[in-house]
Amino acid sequence: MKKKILALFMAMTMAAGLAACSSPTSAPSQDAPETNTESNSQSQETDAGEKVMLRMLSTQPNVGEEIMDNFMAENPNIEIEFIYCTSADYSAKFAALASAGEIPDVFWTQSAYYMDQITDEMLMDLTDYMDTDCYEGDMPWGETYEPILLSNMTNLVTQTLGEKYSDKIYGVPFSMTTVAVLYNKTIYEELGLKAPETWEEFQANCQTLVDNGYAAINHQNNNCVDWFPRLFWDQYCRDEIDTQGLTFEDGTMTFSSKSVQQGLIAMKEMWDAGYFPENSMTADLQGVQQAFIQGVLAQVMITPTNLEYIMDHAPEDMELATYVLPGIAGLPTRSLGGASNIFAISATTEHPEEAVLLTKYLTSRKNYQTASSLRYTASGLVNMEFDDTMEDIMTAYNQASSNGFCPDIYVPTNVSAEINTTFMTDLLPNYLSGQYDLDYVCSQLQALYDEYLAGLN
Amino acid sequence: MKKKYWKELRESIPAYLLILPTIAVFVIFLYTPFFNAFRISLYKYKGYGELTNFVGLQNFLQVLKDAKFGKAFVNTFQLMGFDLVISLTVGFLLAYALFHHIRWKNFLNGALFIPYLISIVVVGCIWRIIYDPSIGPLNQLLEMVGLGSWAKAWLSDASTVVPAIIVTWIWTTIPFSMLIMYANLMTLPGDYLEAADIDGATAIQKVRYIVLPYMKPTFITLAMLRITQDLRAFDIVWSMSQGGPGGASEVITSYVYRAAFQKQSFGIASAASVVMMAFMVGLTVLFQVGTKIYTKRRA
Repeated sequence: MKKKILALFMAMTMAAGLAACSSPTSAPSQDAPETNTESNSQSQETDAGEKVMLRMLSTQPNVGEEIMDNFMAENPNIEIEFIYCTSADYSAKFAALASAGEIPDVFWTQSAYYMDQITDEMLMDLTDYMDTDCYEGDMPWGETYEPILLSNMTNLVTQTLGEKYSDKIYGVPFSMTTVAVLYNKTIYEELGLKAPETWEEFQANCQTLVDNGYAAINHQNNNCVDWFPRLFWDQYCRDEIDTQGLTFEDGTMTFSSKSVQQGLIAMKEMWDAGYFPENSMTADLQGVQQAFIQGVLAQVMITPTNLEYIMDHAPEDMELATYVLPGIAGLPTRSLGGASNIFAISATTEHPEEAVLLTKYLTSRKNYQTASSLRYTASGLVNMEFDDTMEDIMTAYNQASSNGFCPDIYVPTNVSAEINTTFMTDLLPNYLSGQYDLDYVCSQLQALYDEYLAGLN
Repeated sequence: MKKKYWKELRESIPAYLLILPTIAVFVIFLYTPFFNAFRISLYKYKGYGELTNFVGLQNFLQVLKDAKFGKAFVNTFQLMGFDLVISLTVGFLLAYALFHHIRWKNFLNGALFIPYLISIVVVGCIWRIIYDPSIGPLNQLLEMVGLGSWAKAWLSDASTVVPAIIVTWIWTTIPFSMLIMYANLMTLPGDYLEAADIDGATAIQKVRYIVLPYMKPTFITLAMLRITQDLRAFDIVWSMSQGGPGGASEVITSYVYRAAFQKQSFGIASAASVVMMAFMVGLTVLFQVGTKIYTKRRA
């Protein structure tokens, strides 16, 4: 009997170990790997009573130790504990930090999380700070940004969350993110191709590449599998959303609307035509970059911040160039991105002034001029030109932004972490592989979105 | 009777005192979080802030109705089943081969143990490259030997991703099984085998009637260890496929992780964990009852 009790006790111990994995107490142990130091220390002043410690979380490869060191050299009274995780691991990392009550003072965020963070009152209201001096002190902080970036952010919040948050600023755009297609010009020349100007030319190019044994195109990693559908929606839904004023919030647009379905169908057609590599849904950034460098993948849709590895490691005889993806419906192509990288400040920070100073520095001209890691990054700041030496490769990126940006949340698959994750890791991959049909995908998205809206109310 | 009971209890006190710290650790670090997890499973909860949105058993219903959870459940037990059978069988064969003083024994003993020493995440990354459809050596090898038509994106194809992960997992678990069994074989008294030789037993008969019965407790212990480790097989899955494509290689732990940390649905994640625990306890009770009946019948 004793043995049985002991055995049952052991079994429960094993099982409880598994069950306890999801409790907040054990959350950090499940946490994704990170590359930098982290401790549980809260922001605090040192014994000397002068130094202020800030915790900062970045997912951007170009925002790293170098920038932190530069900032600390300029502001010796502030010490930064820097935390880095990839954007793919951000959700896990932030959830773990939040559940432990250790939200960093300054952190990176993106629309799918930004909306949740605003409604959960996790972000400091920066509206009043926009009128204070920028880091250099020569103009108001809010006026240093390209106006379209800030207005995109405020419009997004107002449209998604309603008037309660109208015209409020809870984060600032870090860089002007644009998306373009980087292609292997050597392969293009070998096959007699030229950069496409229409969707038909793009398709013809992809077909030629596939016929010659190349993987035609890929998104930069498996965390961006929704890029093509979003670009298609920007084309197909533009008339309804921008011109006719239909919205998902009031139900005049739904995930079953024809234009939304068209975007998904177009993606499936590309998939079925074999334009994407077989591991497209699972390949990470390094995998995609290596496939491109090795000449297996001919084109990759990529942001400028992720160009550096390819530029530095591509063989000398590999010529590179970029182009803007032509609009599938023939409308002018608007870029994804814009103010998609956001830096925000925790509402519970004990050092709001220092946190604001750090945030100002991150988005300052000074930072862009001094940090070598930002050489491929378009600042999104007024009165700041891009480095001329990068002009060739950056042409398409500049061109992409010249037509404006597709609002970050347009067809709201990225309005919340739950919808975003479900769409990218379940619905879309299974739709492409033929496991789910279109109606099922659309109905699931609608159900999740309805639940999200109900949660807001 | 009562006197005897109290006497036994008094004698057991030192033993209970010895295990008290362990029990205290369990209670503080395991059972308390578990009961907290159970409480969370009754709420819609994002992982931070107060528990306010009570939903009763709705999370449990959602988990049980979720085909993805079913798939994760099946994958977990598929992994466990293959691991139990292959790891123990191959581990035994290797241990037995080493026991027979084969050439290069010491070298092989070390070499075969290496996979167990490598971090699981590193193993996952290595095999991820091996399976890569365009630059991976596996497909290149298949093409070299004229089996190019078999080449595929192993980790991106829903039909091959689970077997590919199972192969990798077993590759890491065999050495441990081998080592434990080899250590056990080394304690096998030589007299038994010599007596069998004198009686003219064949090699198979020696294994069947001497070695295997002798090693039975080791097999049971190893099976228990394998089951517990298989249930925690998260890192290998996450580093190789992140449960993809489209959830095809999801296991219970990755399901819980995704629900909690990607979807920020801690209620769902906790409910899935509790369901899994209930299943495990049920399985253990069943195993106990089964063993009891089997032992009675044998007697």
